[in-house]
Amino acid sequence: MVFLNVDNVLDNAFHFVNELKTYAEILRDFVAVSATKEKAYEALKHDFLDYLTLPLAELDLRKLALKFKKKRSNTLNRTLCLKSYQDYRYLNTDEIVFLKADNNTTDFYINDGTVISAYKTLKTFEEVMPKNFFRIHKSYIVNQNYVCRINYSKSKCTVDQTPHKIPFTKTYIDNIDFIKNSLSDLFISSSN
Amino acid sequence: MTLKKTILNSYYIIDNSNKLFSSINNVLEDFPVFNAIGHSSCYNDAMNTILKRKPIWFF
Repeated sequence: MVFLNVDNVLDNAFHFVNELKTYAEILRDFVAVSATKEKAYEALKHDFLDYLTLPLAELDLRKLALKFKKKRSNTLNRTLCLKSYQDYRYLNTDEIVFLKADNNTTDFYINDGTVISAYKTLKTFEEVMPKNFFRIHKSYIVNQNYVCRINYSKSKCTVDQTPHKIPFTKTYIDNIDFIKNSLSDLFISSSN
Repeated sequence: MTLKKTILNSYYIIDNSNKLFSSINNVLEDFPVFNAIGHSSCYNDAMNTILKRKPIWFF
C-alpha cells in the first residue's frame, strides 16, 4: 500500500502511479492524501483505494486498514518463506505440486522435481496455504492446479509434473469433490 | 524455524515531511499485519523502494 500526498510532492503524482503500474510485478494499492478534495476525481479514475484529507482522522485510517485487510484476504500473496536458522528459502506457491507430512516435518514437492523439507507440521501449513491447496489425506495437501486425474475407485489423485499418485481418504472426500467440481467447470466433460 | 502467521503488508509513504509518516504509523502500529517500509519525497527513491519490495509469507 502506498500513501501518496498528491499535493505537488512529486512533480506529477499520477504519472508516478502509472509508471509504477507499468513496471511493478505486483500491483500496489494507492491511497491519496491531500489538503483538499480537488484531486479526488483523478484519484478515482486512477483506481486509488481511498482518498484521505488532511489533517488525517484516526478513524478514517482505521477504516482504511480494515478495508485493505479485507481486500487482501481475497488476493493472498503467492510467496512462501521457509526460515531455518540463518537460511531463508523462498518458494512461489504456484510451483508447489503437493505437500507431504513426514513425522513432524513437511516435504514440499516442487514442479521441477525437487523436494524441500520444512520443520513444521502439515497442519501448520494447511492453515496458511492459498485457497487452491486442499487437504485430501492426513499426510497430504495438494495444489488443485496440478491435479489431472481423480480416481475414486482407487482413492488416488494423479498430479502433473511428478510421477506420484496421491492417496485421499473419506475424511477429506468433500475436498476431493470440490476439486472435481472446480475442474469440471473449466474443462469439456466426456463420460462413458 | 519461527512462524509469523499473519501476512505482512508493507506500506510506503510519499510526502515531504515526517508528520504524515508519524501519524499514519501511530495508527497502523495497532494492526500487526502492517509494516512500514519507509517514506520519501523523491520520485526515484520511492519508485526504487516500491519496485524492489515483494510480499512474502514469513514462517
